Amino acid sequence: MKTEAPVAHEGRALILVVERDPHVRALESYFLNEAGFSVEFVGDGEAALERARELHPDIIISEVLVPKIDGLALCRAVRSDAKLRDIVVLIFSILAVESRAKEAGADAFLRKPLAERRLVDTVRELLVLRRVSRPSRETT
Amino acid sequence: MIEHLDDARAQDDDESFERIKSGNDQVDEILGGGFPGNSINIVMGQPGTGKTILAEQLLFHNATGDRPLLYLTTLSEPLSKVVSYVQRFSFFDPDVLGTEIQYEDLGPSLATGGPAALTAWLGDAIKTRSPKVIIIDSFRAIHDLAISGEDMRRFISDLAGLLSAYNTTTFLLGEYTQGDIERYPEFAVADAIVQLARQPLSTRDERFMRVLKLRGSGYREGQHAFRITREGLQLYPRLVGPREPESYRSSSERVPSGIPGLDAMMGGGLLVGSTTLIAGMTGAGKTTVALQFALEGAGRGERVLYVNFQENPAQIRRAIANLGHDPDSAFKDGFGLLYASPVELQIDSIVVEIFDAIRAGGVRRVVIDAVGDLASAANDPRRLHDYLYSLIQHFAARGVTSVITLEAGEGSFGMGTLSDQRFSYMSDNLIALGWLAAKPDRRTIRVIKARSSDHNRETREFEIGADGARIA
Repeated sequence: MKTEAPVAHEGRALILVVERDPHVRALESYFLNEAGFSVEFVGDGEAALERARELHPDIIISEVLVPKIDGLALCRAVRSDAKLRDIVVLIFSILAVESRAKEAGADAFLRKPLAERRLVDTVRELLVLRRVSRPSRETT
Repeated sequence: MIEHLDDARAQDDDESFERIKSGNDQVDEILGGGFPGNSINIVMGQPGTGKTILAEQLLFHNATGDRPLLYLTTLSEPLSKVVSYVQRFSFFDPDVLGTEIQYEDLGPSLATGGPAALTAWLGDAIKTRSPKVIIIDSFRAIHDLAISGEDMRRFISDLAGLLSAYNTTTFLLGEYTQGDIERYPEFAVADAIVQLARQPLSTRDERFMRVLKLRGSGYREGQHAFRITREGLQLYPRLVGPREPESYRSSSERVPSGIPGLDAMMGGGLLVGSTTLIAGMTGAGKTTVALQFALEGAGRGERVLYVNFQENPAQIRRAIANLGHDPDSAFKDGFGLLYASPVELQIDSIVVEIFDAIRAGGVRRVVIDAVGDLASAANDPRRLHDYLYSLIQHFAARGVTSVITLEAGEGSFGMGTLSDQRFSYMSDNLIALGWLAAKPDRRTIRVIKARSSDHNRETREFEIGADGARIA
């Protein structure tokens, strides 16, 4: 899947979204940008790991059902990588896998469909918690 | 893992059962609690069946101020008609129009831009309006735009993808026929399909609702009758039997019939929770026997429901007085009358009224006089049979003792007509009233069947005097 150019802006937290569905991507892009975040999209777990190492985003939002490395495996890979483990992971899936997301080390879980207020509020809350609990990396 | 995850989990558990209420408790009841939330639903039916009213009632019910609700007309339903017609209903609230409920006519956009204009419009609307509910009326009319089947499938897939991605519930209304279900791709993506239909019955029409599909949830199958009133749809869910076991059958408790001598013929009275069918020709004394049974209960302080289709309340009062009882005292004691004119009789509504009365609790005796009137009001005898069977099961489960009268032709006691109409096997007891062949001025009574009772099988004479009926 084509990797879209990052919408990087000064002072904006960067969110890496792992999502294949074009409608979900379009809505996530719109609502997260509207809320003041920079959003980068990838379409599979392998590309997500690659981009995470390049960009070191503040948050990864991932669907579970993505190719190559699924969202839960991606989450485990992030947690086991010393350079990535401070990145907050939000599993946002059509599947009801709350407990599996927890076991994989996710910081939060949301079930689809997209409800913009809930998504944006969760992201904001996670960013605040990240600043408190993982001060090693300053959120911009 | 932050605490938020556990919150999210609890939220998700709730979400899997999220329902969009229709604004009509009975419609929600047959849907197992309402339409599924975050879903695509189809409401199908020929013009005039009530689709728009169902949708409007749902919209006004869900106008709670948090997010707007959209009503989009396409190519067949003029927006002005939709808006002006809804004002006739009691659920209409002008204060929410244009703010919480937003009407849009997409006809011109569709006519020039084709179906893709709808997807594009909805994509923008989701971003800028955050709609909680989207109604598209008529969705079937979009098929009239001359595009290929392949393009239509692509359009539906794209539209369904968009609507499924967002937290909204969509209703596609359309004049679909049964054959359209296999023909049109929107039926494959629909989470729920509800059909509204209208069938002529003598001088009036009967309307029915039927759930054809409901993903991830149980629902009440079959035809459910409804009427359109000023309040919107008035629906009568098809009565089904109780889930609880029939406990009365193990009970040996009996209640007196109110007919001197009859209890002895039936092993000591009527078993609590049993149903007794009283059959006979006109004038044989069925109503007298049934009324005495009811008055006996009322006299004992029991709540009684007397369902009658022929004698109006004044006539019933007179009949009570003719049996030597004071009508005022009887009604005060607990004699309840449910009267429905046979001309206006709709079996669904009467059955639901009876059921509601016994479900409310306290009723110990029920009389239905006469079941033949119900039969003549039913366009489908099997439906009446199913309803009666279910009612009788509910009576049994709740310990309600009932008497049902049946107009039966000469020589049909327990056989012929009774068997044909399949009423006799439903009842625990069967009593036939008639006259002696050699002396037609002498009434007879015979207990043909008395389940779980050692009953007297003889044909006995009985008489109706100033104080009612008694075994001679």
